Amino acid sequence: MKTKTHLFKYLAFAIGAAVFFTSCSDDEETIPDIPPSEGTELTLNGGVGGSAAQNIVFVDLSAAKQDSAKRESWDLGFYCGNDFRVILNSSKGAITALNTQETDINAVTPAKVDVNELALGLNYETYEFIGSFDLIDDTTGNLNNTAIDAISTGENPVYIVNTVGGATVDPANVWKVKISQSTNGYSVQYAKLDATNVQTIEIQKDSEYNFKHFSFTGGIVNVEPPKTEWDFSWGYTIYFTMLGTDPVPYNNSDFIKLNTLNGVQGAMVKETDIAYASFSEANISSISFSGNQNVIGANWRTVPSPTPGVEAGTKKDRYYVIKDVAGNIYKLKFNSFTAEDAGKRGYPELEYQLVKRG
Amino acid sequence: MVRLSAILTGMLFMTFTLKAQEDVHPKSTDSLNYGMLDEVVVTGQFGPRSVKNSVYRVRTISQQQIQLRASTTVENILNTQLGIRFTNDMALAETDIKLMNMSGQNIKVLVDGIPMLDRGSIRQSLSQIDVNTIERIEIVEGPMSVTYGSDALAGVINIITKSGGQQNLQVSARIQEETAGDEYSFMQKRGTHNGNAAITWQNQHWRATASGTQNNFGGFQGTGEGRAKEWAPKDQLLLSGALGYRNTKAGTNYRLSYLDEDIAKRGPLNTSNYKALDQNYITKRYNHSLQSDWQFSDQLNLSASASYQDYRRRTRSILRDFRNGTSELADGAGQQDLVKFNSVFFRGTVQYQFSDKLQFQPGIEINSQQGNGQRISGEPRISDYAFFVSSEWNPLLWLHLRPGLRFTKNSVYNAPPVIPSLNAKINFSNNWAIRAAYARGFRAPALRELYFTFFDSNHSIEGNTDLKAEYSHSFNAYLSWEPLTGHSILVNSTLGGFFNRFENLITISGKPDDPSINTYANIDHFKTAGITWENKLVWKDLDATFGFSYISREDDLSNTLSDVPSLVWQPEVNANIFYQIPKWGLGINAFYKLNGKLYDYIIDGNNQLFKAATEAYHTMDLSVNKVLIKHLTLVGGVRNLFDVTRIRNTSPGTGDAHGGAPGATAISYGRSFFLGINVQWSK
Repeated sequence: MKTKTHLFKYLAFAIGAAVFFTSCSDDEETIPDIPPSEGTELTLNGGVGGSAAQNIVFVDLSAAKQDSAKRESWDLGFYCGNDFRVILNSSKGAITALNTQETDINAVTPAKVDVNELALGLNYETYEFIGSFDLIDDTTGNLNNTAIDAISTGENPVYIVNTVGGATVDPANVWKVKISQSTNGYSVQYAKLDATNVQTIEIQKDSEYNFKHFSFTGGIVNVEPPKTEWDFSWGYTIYFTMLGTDPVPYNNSDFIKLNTLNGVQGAMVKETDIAYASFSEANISSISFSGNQNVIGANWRTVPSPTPGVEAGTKKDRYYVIKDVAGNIYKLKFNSFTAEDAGKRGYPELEYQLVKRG
Repeated sequence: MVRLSAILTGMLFMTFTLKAQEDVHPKSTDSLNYGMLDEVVVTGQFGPRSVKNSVYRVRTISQQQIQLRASTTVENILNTQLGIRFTNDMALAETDIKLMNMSGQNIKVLVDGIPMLDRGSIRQSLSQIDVNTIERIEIVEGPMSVTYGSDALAGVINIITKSGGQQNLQVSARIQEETAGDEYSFMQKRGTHNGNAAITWQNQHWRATASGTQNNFGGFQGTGEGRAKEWAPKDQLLLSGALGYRNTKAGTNYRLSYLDEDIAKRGPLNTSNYKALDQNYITKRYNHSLQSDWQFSDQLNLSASASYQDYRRRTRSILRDFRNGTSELADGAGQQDLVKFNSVFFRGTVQYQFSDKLQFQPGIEINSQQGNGQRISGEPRISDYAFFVSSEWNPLLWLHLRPGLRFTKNSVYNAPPVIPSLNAKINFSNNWAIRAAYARGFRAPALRELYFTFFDSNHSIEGNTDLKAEYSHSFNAYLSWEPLTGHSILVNSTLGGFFNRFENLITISGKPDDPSINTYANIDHFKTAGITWENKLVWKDLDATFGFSYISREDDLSNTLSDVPSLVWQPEVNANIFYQIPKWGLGINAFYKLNGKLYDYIIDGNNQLFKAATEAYHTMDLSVNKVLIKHLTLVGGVRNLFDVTRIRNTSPGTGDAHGGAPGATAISYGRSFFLGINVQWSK
């Protein structure tokens, strides 16, 4: 409740200040100093779908707001930074891409390629894992290690993309795509694998965003908020698990990724080291912030399991400290996420507090 | 405990007041009359027959024994029987039975010969039978699939309901109060509260009966956190009625029983968001049964049973928000659900006496089950049609043979087409007899195993329509010695051994990459073996049984690892003692069982072989009965004398899906005290 009072106080102050400045300034408007949120409680809107909730949620701590987008609404993301990089929609699961070594998109036909090479997942009859990490982007978010190689200035190869991942591939879900550099952007040729009518779309980089998102069936779609307006995302994603002693790509729910491309950093703190309630500005020096996108990942909760003694719920022994791009430092803890801890799957509850203003 | 003593005092005062008003009949021990010398059994028989002459080895528990123990659950009646154990699913507040180291799905539970419908493989129906309507429980170990079909691999538990006595009108009532461990409050909430009233009227041809029972269990805090109890509260209302007609040649009886059960699980409070999830499992069952028999001639009898059972179980989940004082229905997968099952059953048999030495019993059985619910794909119906024939042949005075065959056709899966069995009883002398049997048993994949799909944040289970039936080869032999039989004395001793080999056993197995996804699979090569030694002494007013068993089960890992013995053994010891002092109208009874240490081999997280143990524990109940006045009996005692609550279990990854915290298996809520009054009046 306390944080909410603070919120209202600052909001009232901000509105008052805005009114004051609007009414008194004669010529040019001065942008008021909007303080960052003191912290609040949020219930993330994952939408229906339970452990495979339909939304990906973007949280902006300093603005105390969340945005959500349908996670299956896009296929490819085009990087808006200096490099020319294309990512696959990891929130769709095992969506995969394979270099056909062919540069003529019309020459890529169902007869020329084996779509089964796009398969990724466990064969439940043989318990063998099909496919490899090469078919997906780096699970740590490293843009230098994407399934689709950097788009060069020269001739680029055609890729085939399975837009619905799994251990078996339905050719109806496979598209072919050839991406080239254009002036400040990308030129994309694409068609269904068995189609001949190749479409073309130009995608311009927009420096306000990390990525521009594209769907084979819907063209350009809005997914992420502007890059300065979110600190982390929550949702379903492909990650990895250990199958025996080998890591294999594996879908994870409730996975949190920091917006490290825009400089957000984070760290995990154990309650036994410093209690959440007493964590203050003085403790910040003891924290080593990490630029690892997955520093929170799925480590904040224990999923329900039939194994006796495994208590599902958010992990109460830890919380996180997040430093946004403006230098604001927040402490954040998760309160519920599943029926076992009186939460709702797909609608996790969290709370955070400003520790130090940037 | 203060309140317990209050009720004890109150009840005693009440009964003494009643006593003062009536003449004292010290010798009236109607309700305690306890003769066991000529027990009659029906399970697997062509007609009622004495235990001694049965080709099968049949154990019985009589109504008197149940009354003397003042049991209010079938579990309590059976838990000091040799070879029987119970496992508790703490999350669902359900209990399953194990017989001869085989879980409930391999045990046929019958009520008057009619199989009870269960929604899954757990024999939860055992806890949904009104104890007050039980005349007798018959237990047969070993496969009875020729007569009873699927699921009768480990054995059969046949619950025989009361079918009237000599009197025209009988009225009975019972009130019993029991603590749950050290928790109790008078007549409501904490503790166990039972009440029953029944009336039976009969004349030369007609018989009508009605019975109502209320069982309220207030739960038990135990290791539960805050508002969440370790043992969930459970309320049951059981109603039944029957109407029957009989003349010299034929009889027909219709019976309807109804159950309303509410298991209320309160979730722990999440102190971060001040919310909690509460769940209720609400079960309603209607069981209709119609049974008839006709005697056409001295040689030819016909009997038929039909039943329709309707089972509904609703899951209701409510998310309570204590900060805002609001509640809402939780809407996660499976959090609101209604599961419906029904079964139609018919069995018709003809008993034909060919000669003094030869009898035939051909029969047909039709069993059809249907289920639906969120977690079941479609509305599948499984129908099973069987023809069976068995014969009793006494070629020599000392030799009884009973061969049998069953032919089955199933609408969904490929049932084993022919199931044989052969039982023999050889009487060496008046005192010595041997029973030996070979039988094939089978268990059909249950609806749930074929069609159940359940994916939520808590469970991932999917049915497997490719399952095959389980089947078994079973051998058993029992040597009985009965040196003394007389009016006031009986001594007998039986040494038995068995070996069962199961094929295609259906079991839940986790998918290797993700133990949270479960499916059903046929696992080959599984066996059990064991020896039992049972003794009985009836001498004047003492009736005692003493038994020992040493039973083993094959460990899965022995197929692949040479360090693991192929059979893992477990001892059990039991004793049930009844002692009457007729002139005081007093009975003192003790029920004891040692459940020996149970070993289990597992591969731990570091790929190391680990021998895990579930500790041994003792179960003991004591009860005292006193006939206060002619129609009134007081019964009191203690259950779980050794106060066993949880036993150490060193295997974190084994046990049932909801066995509780690692390192401990929940057995009971601890030592409990009970006191009850029975009123029986007849004319």
